[in-house]
Amino acid sequence: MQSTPYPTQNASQPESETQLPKTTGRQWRRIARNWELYVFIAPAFFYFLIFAYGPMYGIQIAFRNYVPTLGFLGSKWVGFDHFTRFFDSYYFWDLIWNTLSISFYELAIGFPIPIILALAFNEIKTGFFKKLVQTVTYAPHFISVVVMAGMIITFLSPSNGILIHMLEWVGINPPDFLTDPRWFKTMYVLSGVWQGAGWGTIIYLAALSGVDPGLHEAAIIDGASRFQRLRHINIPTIIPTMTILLILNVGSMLNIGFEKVLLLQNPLNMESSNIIATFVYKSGLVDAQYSFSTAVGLFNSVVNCVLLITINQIVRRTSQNSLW
Amino acid sequence: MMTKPRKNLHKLMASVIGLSLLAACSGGNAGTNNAPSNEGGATDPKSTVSKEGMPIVPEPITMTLMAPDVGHAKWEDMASLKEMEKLTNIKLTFQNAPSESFPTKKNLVFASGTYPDIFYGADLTAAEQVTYGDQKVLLPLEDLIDNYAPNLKKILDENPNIRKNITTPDGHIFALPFINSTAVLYRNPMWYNGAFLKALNIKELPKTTEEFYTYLKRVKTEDPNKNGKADEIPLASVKLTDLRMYFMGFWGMYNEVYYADKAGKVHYSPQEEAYKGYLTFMNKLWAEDLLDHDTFSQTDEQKAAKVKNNQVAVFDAFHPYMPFQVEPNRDNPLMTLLKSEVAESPVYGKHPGQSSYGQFAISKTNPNPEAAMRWADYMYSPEGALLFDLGPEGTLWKYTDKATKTKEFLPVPEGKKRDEIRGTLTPNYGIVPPGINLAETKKGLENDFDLFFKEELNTKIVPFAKPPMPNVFLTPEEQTEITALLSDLNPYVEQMEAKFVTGQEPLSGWDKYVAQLKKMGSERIAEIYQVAYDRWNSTK
Repeated sequence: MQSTPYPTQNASQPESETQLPKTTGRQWRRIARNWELYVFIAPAFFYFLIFAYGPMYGIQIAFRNYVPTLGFLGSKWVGFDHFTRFFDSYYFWDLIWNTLSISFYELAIGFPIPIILALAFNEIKTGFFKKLVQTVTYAPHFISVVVMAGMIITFLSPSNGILIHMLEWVGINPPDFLTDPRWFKTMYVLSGVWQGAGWGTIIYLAALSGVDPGLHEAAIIDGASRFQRLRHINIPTIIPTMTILLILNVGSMLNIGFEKVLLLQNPLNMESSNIIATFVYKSGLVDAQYSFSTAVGLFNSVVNCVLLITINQIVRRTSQNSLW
Repeated sequence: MMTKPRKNLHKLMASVIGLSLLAACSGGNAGTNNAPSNEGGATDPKSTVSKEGMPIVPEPITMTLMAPDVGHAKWEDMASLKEMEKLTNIKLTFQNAPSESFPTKKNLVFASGTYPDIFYGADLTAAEQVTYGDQKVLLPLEDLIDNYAPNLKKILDENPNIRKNITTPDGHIFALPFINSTAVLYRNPMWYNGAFLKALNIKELPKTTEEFYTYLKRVKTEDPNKNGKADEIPLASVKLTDLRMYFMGFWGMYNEVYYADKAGKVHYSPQEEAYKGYLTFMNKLWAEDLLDHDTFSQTDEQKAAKVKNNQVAVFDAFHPYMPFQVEPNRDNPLMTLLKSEVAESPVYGKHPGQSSYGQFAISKTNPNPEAAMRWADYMYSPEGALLFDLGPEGTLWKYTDKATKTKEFLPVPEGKKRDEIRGTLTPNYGIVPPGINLAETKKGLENDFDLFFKEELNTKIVPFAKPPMPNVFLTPEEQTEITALLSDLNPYVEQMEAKFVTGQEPLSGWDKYVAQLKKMGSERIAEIYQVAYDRWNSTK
């Protein structure tokens, strides 16, 4: 660590510039010395290069009137026209509001539930019951989105849905979950919890298994209750995992499960189910307005990026964990 | 300790990204420069393609064909296509996509730059023909028709209106239609459940919207399916798309988005006062539970199950026995068009005579456009129409008298339906193919149901029918504007229709709705189509 041959922080500007070629040479030597590590990282590196960074070249069509036969560079440059059209669109504020509110709603409900569930699982001592509960909660994760949407529509059908009948049976007059815009987001989030919560516990259970049993023993001797041990031993152990997962969740927040929203969408719940991703799909792939939908998609990515950086900053200030 | 090696990696990544961008740029350039060089094939006639008679080419050639597919059989195994290959010496390889996702697939193919040699049954819209014709992805076909399509040329010369309908504003033909001069329908019509009519002792079908409402009310309350349960659904629909056009005719509108009235004035339907009448009526049906409350959330399969279960009084279908999955019969009568408070009602938007869409096109990368044109031309001959409609002789039918072209059906194997077998013999099943509908194809084969069907259409629909709009083409500029406008307007209209019908939005909100439509540019729709319509009218 002490031997790293870099210019020190207080080195003056011109000096470091003159040292640059020399440094590069040393870097290559360092790479050569640790080549195995670079081989390990190479697949992931090239994956992102080819499939994430390479296609970014195509983003330019957001600023052009893209015509496939003229190619990227041949199409006419129109600057921010498509962005202006989107910002002036009747749907703009609905889209922003729906995308953000579904995301935050999902995060607010979907993030803590797996943690609570994992802490609960961790307290179960009997092997058979624990395995049973875990399998039952994991199972919905393996249902594909299309089937899941079909199940939701069938279960919630106003005339013969099983859940509707159950609600009626206990004396509740069921709302129109599928067509009432006020219920769309709840339906979306809760069905997501049902499908994903069990699976989401896995990473927390792994973290919890790392708790030193000695800590628990000591706490028991000191007379700590179960809840106190949970609060002072288990939760602090998984806090680093929680923060990282929180940041990752926020980073992908605006990429809400697009297929599921699209499959559950209908003209009646459109005002709360129309999100940026489905709008991009419809204007791009269905209506073939490639440039316009690229502009909308790019806008989505920029908002996503801003959110990620913001949350990362907040987390870094409040705790010691952060992505960078 | 962690930070420094990472900094290294960042630099490395940045430089590699920079390099890759440069590489990608030059790659893109090469692509665009190459593209036009493929065009030469179009005008350079191949001497090996014979102008008449079969085979089309002496040595076998191969072409790729892209088409939607309803999944009854692999196209490679279809008897009609095998026969066609033997006849023409043209071997086809197929790029099929399921018919429901075909429009998306088609867009992707056009954007990808790698095209199939021919598009078959591809429903190329007027917009697509203009756009991709203008971009020179689709070959202009008019010269090829003159030289290599004797059957089609004869039809076009005899029916100048058809030629007018498929010619774009700059005088090109980019796609070939399905010609069906006897066609009335291009959407499923609505049918009454005959068992319900009998149970309620209805002698005369409802003629006005009021009578129709009364009938639905009786279905709801009088248990016409006699199972002792109030499970009747008077009117079933999926998102209203299946009944919208039929019902809008009761208020004098020929089509759901735009249409020309008898005087030649173009209207944008969703902001017409008549449309409000339609919404008001549908809202009444919804409020009294006469329109299925699953309408906006159910799938086609769920609706079909209800019809089959004998719960539904009025439903859409091409043939009314189909949803019941029984043999053809005369039990279920066609819904009569209803008169409403609108004076000029009812009306019906009739099939425009040839399919308004392009069912066959040749891409610029096809090395043998002449052969492709001759291949397509066969569909417009009596023999070709027969081969692609019913399969080769001896599979489903045989001649009883070859001279008069009279045929009879062969017996169908136990447990199978004739129509399902037809779906495994020919690709022209469940899609609109290029070709022509000739009376002689079906000679001797018409059954009792076919006669009933014809009679129902001729008495109940034809007297009120007019094509909503001739097949007008827009210029690329008009097209761009329309696409942008409609992609904004359509979801809003669809959303508001659902809200008005279900009462989520009271009908007192109508003025606000129309104001919003105007703000979104709805008046331009009628203006643009008026210009296009007048242009169509003035061409000879």
